[in-house]
Amino acid sequence: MRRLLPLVLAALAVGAMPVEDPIEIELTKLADYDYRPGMDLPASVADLDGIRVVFDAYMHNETDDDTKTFLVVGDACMCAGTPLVNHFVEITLDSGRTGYRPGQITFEGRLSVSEKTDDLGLVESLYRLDGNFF
Amino acid sequence: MATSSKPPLRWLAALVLAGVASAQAAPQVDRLLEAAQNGSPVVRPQAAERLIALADEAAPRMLTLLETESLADLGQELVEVAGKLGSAELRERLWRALDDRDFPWRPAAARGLAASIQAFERERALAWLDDPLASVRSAGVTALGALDARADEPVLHALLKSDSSDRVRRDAAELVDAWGTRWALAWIVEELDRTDVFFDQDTGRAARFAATRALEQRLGHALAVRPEEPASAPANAAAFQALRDEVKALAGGRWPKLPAVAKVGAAVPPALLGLEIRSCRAGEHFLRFSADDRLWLGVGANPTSVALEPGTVERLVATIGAALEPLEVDTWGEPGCDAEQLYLRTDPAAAPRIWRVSKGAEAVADLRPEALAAALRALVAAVPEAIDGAPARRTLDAALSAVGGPLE
Repeated sequence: MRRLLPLVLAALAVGAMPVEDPIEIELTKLADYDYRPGMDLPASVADLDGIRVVFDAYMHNETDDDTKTFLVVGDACMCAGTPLVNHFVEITLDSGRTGYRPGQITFEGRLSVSEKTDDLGLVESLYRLDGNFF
Repeated sequence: MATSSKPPLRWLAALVLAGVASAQAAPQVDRLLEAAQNGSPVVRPQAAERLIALADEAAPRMLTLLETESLADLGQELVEVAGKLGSAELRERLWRALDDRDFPWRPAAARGLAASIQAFERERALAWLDDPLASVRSAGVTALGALDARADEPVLHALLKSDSSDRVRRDAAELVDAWGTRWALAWIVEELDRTDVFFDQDTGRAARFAATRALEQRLGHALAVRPEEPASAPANAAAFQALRDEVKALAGGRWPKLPAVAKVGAAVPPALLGLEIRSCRAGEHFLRFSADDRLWLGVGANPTSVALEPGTVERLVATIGAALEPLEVDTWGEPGCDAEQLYLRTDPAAAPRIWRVSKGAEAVADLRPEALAAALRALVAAVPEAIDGAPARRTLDAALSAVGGPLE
């Protein structure tokens, strides 16, 4: 029982912690710099790593049916040409699955900011969000 | 003689080394081609750009691919990079594709060609400036910049005066400014005051951010005007005036009179009904109907407006709402370069409902459900035959046909 005590206390402490309010961010600002792989990211972007955030975005039109993971962009029309790495956020839903939905959607969750690369060294994602939409 | 035997040995060594390098590059090129064609939207442009450094291997591999696949099948990222690999044969294929109005990746082909345009291709690039697709016109501006074709500056002035695309006008203004005609920056400064929206898309805000980046690049310093708010907002007013003074001074005290298409106009009332078409073949078309019985064409600082018969919009909203009521889903087709979105908002304060049809490069039969076709027929019938002397209803009908097939 004594060995379980720290776990019980930790669980109680977590339960008692206040729910972290998400910070409202804009994808326009995440995209508002010239990204190059390996660069030092602007502090305003890097500081969001691990932070709970909420933002409006549009599902990328290549979103699969019945998926947990998909890409979103801040600009529905992608009017500025081909979207670049820092124009995308990769969403992984905490629960449930979805297909493509048109129109602006609000997402909330914890943001990760770091390069995730494939075996060719190509950046698969820079921003990732574990969360949900409503 | 030792001296005479050295060069052949050196050449042989160089050939062997080149062969080894080529053999090492080949698998990587194939993997990059695969990633550029079938990877995620994040990866595809990077993989394509990586091929430029491996052009000696990539160009013949791409030509081999084209023996079994069409240029369209390669996808837009490879189409674009095909123009940057230094292969005359690939470039000629892109030129032919551009001449085909049914080729789905014409903007990508134009961008690829523009990046390394040759002097003898100038006339063909100039023709892009009259293209119905804004992205192709934009590539035309890039091409003139790459050619440093300063004698063609008057055609850029014509774009500033009347091009319907804010992006084309911004590109033209940046190039004209780079060539020393600094009053062209006034076009971009004006964009800082945009507040326009198209349903849930904050087009004015996106334009302010794009204008800020363009001006910072042209002026060589950060702007004090913050794009989060329009330039005329109290927080920005002083900085905006200082910016105008700076640009005016650079232009020798001249501030041009902006044409209506570029000048920020009165706010558009909230729209109840609208249509957005983005077609890689038929171009971009935006229209919306506001409660005050006006039809608004286009997006941007100052869309064209047409007065309709009183009661038109109320009737349309009722007709279209009833037509769409039985539909249980709101999206049809596959992701691709052709899309149409119908917007309907019965409560001006609420988010619009959206019905979307999209498809890839190939035509798809029976893509649009009859209920949506009926709604679109009602909408198209409410558009005047011609607006400002240009065919409106027929153009809209053709654009819808290019995406979801004929309405009838």
